[in-house]
Amino acid sequence: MRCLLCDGIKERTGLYDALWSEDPLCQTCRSQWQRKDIRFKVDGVPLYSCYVYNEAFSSCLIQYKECMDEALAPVFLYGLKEKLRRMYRGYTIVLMPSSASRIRERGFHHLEKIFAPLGLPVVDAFEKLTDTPQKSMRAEERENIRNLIRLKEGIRLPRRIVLADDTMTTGATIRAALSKLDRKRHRIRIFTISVNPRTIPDKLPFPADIAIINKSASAGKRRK
Amino acid sequence: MQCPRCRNTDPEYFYKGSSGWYCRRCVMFQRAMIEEEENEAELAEVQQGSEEYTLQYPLTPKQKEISEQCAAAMRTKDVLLHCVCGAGKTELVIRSIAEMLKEGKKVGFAIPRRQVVLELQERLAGYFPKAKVTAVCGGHTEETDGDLIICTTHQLFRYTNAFDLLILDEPDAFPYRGSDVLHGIASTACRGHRIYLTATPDEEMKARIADGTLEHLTLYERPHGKPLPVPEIWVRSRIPAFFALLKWLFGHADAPRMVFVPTVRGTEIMAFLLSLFLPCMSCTSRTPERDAVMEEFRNSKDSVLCCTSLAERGLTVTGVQIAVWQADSPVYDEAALIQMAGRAGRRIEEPEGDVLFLCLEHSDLAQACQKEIMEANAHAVPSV
Repeated sequence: MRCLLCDGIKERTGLYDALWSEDPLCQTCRSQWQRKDIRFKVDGVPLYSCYVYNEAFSSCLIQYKECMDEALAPVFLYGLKEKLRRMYRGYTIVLMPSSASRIRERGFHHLEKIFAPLGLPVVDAFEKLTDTPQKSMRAEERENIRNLIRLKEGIRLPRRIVLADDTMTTGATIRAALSKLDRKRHRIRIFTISVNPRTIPDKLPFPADIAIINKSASAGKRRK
Repeated sequence: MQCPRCRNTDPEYFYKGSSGWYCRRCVMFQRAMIEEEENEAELAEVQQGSEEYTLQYPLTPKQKEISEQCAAAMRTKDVLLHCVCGAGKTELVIRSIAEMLKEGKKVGFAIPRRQVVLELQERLAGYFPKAKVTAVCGGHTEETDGDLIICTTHQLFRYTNAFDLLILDEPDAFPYRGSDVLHGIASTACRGHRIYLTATPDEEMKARIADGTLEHLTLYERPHGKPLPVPEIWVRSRIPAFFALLKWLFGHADAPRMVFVPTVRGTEIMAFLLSLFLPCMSCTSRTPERDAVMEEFRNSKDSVLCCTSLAERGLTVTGVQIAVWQADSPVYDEAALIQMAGRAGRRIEEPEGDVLFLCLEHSDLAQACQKEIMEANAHAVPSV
């Protein structure tokens, strides 16, 4: 079997590899992804994320999204499915919006393809009104996205929802989505596969409107 | 099943997505669906009169002969121009380019390295004042059409069936060498014949010459007629070698000097150590402003540059002296050594230069390289 990214033959080196591992990536490629449990709050809503958005992750995401390499879909949540299924039991996954023209071009919704195997109900509830990709915008412009996304008409969301996205850079999209939802009616969680290292709170001071809850710090406070 | 772009037929690389089968081998150039025909690149017609050219120096009789042979041979089959470093390979194909442009045919010039693309674009724009010469490489992709298109090998994926003549510079170098994807893409981009330019043809090409599918033209002589600088080989252990290098550097204090180091880490260390004794620049693939460093080095008359094999090909600096640290390192093959030695003495004003191979132990490769250069000198017309 070949690694999906580096094309090398996957060597079955260890016992674990030979018996249990079904990782579509080889160990070299996988070890370049920085696995980290990241937890903080965005506008008071708890976020969980499992990778740091580094160069290796970014290039894989680009190959998946921009080069439309559908085969990479199972790579992102490999080894996390059980955990996510437990964490978000009873929740419905609400996908972050992607522009309709890009979806048509790709032939698949990139997030749906990633999250469908979890077995949780998936709803694509938002729609984007513009085609400009966010990566070409500056931080201030990104805030503007609040006016550019909206809930699709005629969609009724269940009580428990988890907003899912591939990566969080400034959090603008997620905050925009939160502003469209009625927090009293819904119990909301956020899951992003990766978070930009500059946005991870325990590294740098955080924008004021994203409350910091570093898990260990909050546990310490409770004990006091 | 065959990929329409990279000509892959290995079933392991095909994947069935929601909109059909696609090829994963060349997916980094955006997905190519198997059923769909690749869209042909839409390029404008070649302008009238763009074939007029003026060379900076007139060609030597020998060069003229080769360039005429090349222009005749490229009509019927692929051509390999096997010339020593600094023989003026680019000038040799100018005639072929002009002939194609005159007939309104598109010409592409593919080069492995980005810096060289920009340098060559300037040069060729000077030779062809009336033609639109476009450089296409990372960071310069807004404009992709022109009469004569100069691009990195990777950018060839934009030009399906676009070129009537494709010139591949240094096809024996990374990344083109051994990359099936780039080989496939290059053959898709070209509907006519190809010209390969190199000083060090690899096994694959030698095999094609033996088959007779590749016309082999050789030029062992530089335009100034002086022989190639033959490398000296010094074998020393590490610390004496360093001081020998230092002494050598001081001995050539009035010329620009390049020190090639096998690894990036080693280059940084070497640049630091040398900077204790004399001002020294370093340039590796990790240097953020590579182009600026190169430019500075090119303009200065007497500075030292520490670099990896990044700068091994396609660089011309007047009067440069070359030292290769650890020439016995397994990183280098014979082609790399010949190319590095070939940096020296490329300009007519400064036809000579010193080349030093510092080895930590006896190395067959360095000696083979020395022998090869001497043989090339012996083949050249003994005009000196």
